[in-house]
Amino acid sequence: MARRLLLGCALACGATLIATPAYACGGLIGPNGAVNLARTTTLAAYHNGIEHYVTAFTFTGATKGTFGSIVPLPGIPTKVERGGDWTLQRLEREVAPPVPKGLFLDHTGVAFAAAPEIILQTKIDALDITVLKGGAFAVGTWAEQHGFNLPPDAPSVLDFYARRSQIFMAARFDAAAAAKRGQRAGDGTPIHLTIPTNNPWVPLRILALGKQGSEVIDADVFLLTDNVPAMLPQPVGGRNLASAPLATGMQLVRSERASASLMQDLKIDKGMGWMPKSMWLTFIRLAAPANTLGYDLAIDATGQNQPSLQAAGFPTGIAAAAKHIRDSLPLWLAWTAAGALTGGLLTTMLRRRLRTA
Amino acid sequence: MTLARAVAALLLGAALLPACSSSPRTITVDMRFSHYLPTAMDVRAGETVRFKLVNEDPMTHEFIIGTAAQQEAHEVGGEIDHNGLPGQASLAPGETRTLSFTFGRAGSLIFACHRPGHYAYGMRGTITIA
Ligand SMILES: [Cu+2]
Repeated sequence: MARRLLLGCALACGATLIATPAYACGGLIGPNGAVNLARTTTLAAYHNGIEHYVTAFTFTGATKGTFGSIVPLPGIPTKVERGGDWTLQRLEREVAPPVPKGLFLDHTGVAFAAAPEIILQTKIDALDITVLKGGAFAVGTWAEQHGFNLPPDAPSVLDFYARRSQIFMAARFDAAAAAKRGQRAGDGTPIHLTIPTNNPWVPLRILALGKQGSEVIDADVFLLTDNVPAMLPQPVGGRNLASAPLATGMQLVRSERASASLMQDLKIDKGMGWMPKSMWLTFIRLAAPANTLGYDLAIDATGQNQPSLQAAGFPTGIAAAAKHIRDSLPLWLAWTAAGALTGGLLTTMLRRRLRTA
Repeated sequence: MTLARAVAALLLGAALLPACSSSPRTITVDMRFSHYLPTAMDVRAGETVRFKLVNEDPMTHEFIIGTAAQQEAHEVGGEIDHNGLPGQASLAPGETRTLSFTFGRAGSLIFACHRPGHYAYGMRGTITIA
């Protein structure tokens, strides 16, 4: 208990010292379409056939209008509850330790179906949460009828997900209710979904919902798994699965056995008691232009190195996946790579000359 | 006139009948994933076309015919329901609706949707009037 109190306080107080990201997990939709977010953070933890998906919705400070978010899910959640108070912050802290005061940390870093089936409805703080089962048309129409102003790319994005899994979570954020509750701008409401599935994946494409072509989508994705996960597409710096295409917008920052202190701190947070003694921590930083983010992150944590093509959003095969990612590589990335190569060559030549001079 | 020629003349007459009658040509325009299909059409000056508009998306779309300047005006306008206005239609999710329009002199026009963000997203097409 003492550690709980101490940790909650330390993270709350430390929030001013570390760069605080804006949390949310789906395509965020405001009164006039999607809302810009600085960065999103999610944890997808997988153990004993259960995916624990933790994310948070941040109160933007707006006092008018209803904001909402649509999150595609790999299966029907058995539980949707308020997440723990520090899980996401603790994970961020694990990979970005606090900096001394005074320093600024730059953190850039159709089928016309009937109405969808309502699987469950709950209210968590100022969020009205509905889990829906239905096709893209049914879910999209429901969202429009319930105050979500879908951006123009919503039909194709919903279709992309509905072909794989027809389960969606719609979260309506009532700004007026949040203000009435005394929530201040930047206050987040963590949500924890417990989803039995044998096929975990993290929705990434939804993050680009309503975003323009070259706008960069930033996200921090944490995975906690029993084994080292194989991922599709592969992040830069990841293990080389011979056949898996590489997504240059994803960078593998950490891949290590989770520290004992992290495991202990997470396990005592609300709803995290399911955690085993030891897990593998993977931290991926996503920084991809919206028009290149046509994929999700499929995970195989069984040790068999066979992440699902379908779960990554490529049902037509590995060649198509590779081609899609190759074709969507932005020109600036190619130029940056070419520039780095040229710079490297010039430096080497210069060093040799200096040595021989 | 032989019997064969008479039959041929009758068949030819029957084939030409729809073109000579006053019923307008129908062009089906699908709206899917916030894009039109087709995106380009050819019509004749003075021709009346019956557009069959099919909205397959779970969101409202518009079909508004006009010049580039008129489209720019619609882009900043606040009209919600365009039904009943000449060359304009608003379609609810999944709705199918018809719209008849008579084209004037030769030139080109644009058809577009002006729901927030749709025009910039590429929900537009061209009509060439010859
Ligand atoms: Cu439209």
